[in-house]
Amino acid sequence: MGTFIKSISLQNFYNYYGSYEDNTYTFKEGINIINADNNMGKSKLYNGFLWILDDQVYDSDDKRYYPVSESYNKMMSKKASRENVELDMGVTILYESEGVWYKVCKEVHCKLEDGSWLFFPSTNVLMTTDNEDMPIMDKQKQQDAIRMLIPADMEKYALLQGESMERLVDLSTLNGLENTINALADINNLIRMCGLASELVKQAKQEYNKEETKNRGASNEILKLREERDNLEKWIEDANKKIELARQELIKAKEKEQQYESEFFSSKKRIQLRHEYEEECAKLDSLKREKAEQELSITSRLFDENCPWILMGLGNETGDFDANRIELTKKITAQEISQNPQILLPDDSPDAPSLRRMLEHEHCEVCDREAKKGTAPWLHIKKVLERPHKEMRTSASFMQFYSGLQNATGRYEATIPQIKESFEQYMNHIYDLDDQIEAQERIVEAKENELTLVGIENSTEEEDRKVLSGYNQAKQTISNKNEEIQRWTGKIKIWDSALTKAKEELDKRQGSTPIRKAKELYDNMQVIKTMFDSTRERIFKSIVDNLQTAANEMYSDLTKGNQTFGGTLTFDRLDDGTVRVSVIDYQGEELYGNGTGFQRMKQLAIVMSIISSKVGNKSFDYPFISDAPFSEFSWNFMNNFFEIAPNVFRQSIIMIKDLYDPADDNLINEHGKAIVEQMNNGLLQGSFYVNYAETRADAGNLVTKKYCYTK
Amino acid sequence: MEAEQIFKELMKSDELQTHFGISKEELADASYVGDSNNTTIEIIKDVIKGIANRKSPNVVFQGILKKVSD
Repeated sequence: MGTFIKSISLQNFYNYYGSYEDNTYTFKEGINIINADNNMGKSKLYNGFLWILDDQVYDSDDKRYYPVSESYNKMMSKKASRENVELDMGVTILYESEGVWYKVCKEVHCKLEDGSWLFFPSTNVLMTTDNEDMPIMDKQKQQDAIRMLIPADMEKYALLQGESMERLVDLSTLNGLENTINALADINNLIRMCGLASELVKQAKQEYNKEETKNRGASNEILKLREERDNLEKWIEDANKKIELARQELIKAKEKEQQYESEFFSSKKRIQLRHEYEEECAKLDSLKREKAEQELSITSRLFDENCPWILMGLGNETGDFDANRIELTKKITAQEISQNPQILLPDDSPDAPSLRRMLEHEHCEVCDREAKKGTAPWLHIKKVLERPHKEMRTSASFMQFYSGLQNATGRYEATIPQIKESFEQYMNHIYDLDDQIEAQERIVEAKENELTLVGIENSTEEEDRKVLSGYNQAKQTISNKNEEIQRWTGKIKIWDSALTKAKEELDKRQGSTPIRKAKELYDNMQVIKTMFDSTRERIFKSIVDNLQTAANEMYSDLTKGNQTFGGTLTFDRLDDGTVRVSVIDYQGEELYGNGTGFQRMKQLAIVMSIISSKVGNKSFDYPFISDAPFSEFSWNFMNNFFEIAPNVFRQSIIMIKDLYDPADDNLINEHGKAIVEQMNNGLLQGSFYVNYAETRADAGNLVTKKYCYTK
Repeated sequence: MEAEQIFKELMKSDELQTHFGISKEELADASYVGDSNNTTIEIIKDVIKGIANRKSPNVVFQGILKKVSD
């Protein structure tokens, strides 16, 4: 079984303006590449496939899937909707499956009415056998025909949106890979047989009980043993149900753990970094506040009562002022004496401080001569000082004013010399604060960079806490459920032992043939049921082993040439029956820290091994359709993929931008040109398209054109 | 997986020899098509065919009961 896609055509679908004929991509077996820059229609082409298969489209803004019925407005070509009040939008795929050709067309008639668009969807499926076209009208048969393109079980592997590769449903849900393996091995019938065998065991038990009941002559001891046996069996059955329920919840919790695990460490780091960042910001604010306070305090320091900085540098001024004042006093006195020689001591004679100074210095400043202590001049000065004098008028006399000033400034004589040192201390403190602020700003900036690296823009504190809480809760649930399973398993073991004893005792006492025969059938049916279960398990394990081998071959081929060893893939069957894929190193230890490229390689290797797996003589030949699978891949990875893909997929259709070069006339880079050459020389099977826009426009108004570089 | 393939896989089970005492030769000769003299092997076929022919568990069991009582 297998499918080959001949072509896809689009009409007024997103960037694909115009008719189906204007927008048809024809494919071949091998690798079909649609190479395009961002917004040039890669994801929109992928959406064409999604619409046909699942009536869904992927919204790259929201990064989620939407039903088409909610997306017609967005899907409609903007250019077409501006030019027309009525238009048709659609996608048509032509494909072959097991010798039969199918043409599926999903279309919407769009009509503008009273300012709103109305949408009228339709689906047409045409089947062609022996050159005869047959429309398929029945909805279910239409769906069956569409499912021939890619079966539902395989779709999650055959249809890959690059950004969602890490969240492949199957590999993040532990049940998922198990379901796929069951589908691959086509052992669903066997699984149903296991179910039937289980039912038959119950029926055999009922038959056994019926025979026992028929035996009315059973003693009390036998009745008691039967009751004990039945109770134990019931308890064991109930306990098994509880264990099964706990296992289901355990699986869900493990899925949650996996879901959160990848984000857990980032979220934890972000919370920690946010806290550290806030602390560092607080320190910075504190330093800035301290500096601001210091700067504000300069006013008070300028006019400080005891040490006013405004007087800085004026230390000598009081002395100079005093000398000037004395000189002036002398001049004034001499002038007054010359004007009024009768007066020996004019009113404005030397003041008391001056007289005291003269006495102290033993020098008459008026006559400018020596006046030793005890001499007549000295005693005269003393007499003048001690004379009774009139109450000073509070006139605004020049000498009184400046005397007062001198009195006032006299006390600063001691503190003025300290101003410079005080100022220097202040400025040093300011400079020190500046240094601390600068250093702290660097620390804050470094924290901001750390936050950016852990993706602070992508997640709020609340979201991060939710991840931590979800992860911790999942871990707690896992622990609780494991404990619960263990507890019930322990109880079952005890009850089993008691049950065996009860059965043995019963067998000794219940000797009638019908009962023995019924019991024998019951026992045999249990063994047969075990055989069916273990056969299923054996086949399942064989598939898993084959997948592991194939996946490692793919993984090795995909990662060859890389300087880092990407590890080895292991598929482990867990106690709960699910399958977990992990990467281990040379020593068998789980390998963490592989880059995104390797992670995607792992996903791709698993997908490719599943898609290419063979069971018996069957192989799965469905197209591999992928949008942007190679972001995070180096050219080495991509090259390896192009080498091995033709051996795995009969047909792959890949939308990428990694071979695009806007500076090149052909819009292809060197690697792309090499691929085109190989294709045109017949060395590589496939086709190579490049999407481009004839006129520059924004994403909503872009019209995509295409060119095919292969013959 | 085809019914016959499933039957062949089941014939590899150890229990057929250890519990039911069926010889290796008898197991090697066992065929999905045609009848076997061994009741256990026939019961196994009944289970397989029960799914292939979409029979209810009760119908399958009645068939088994008939075989074991014969």
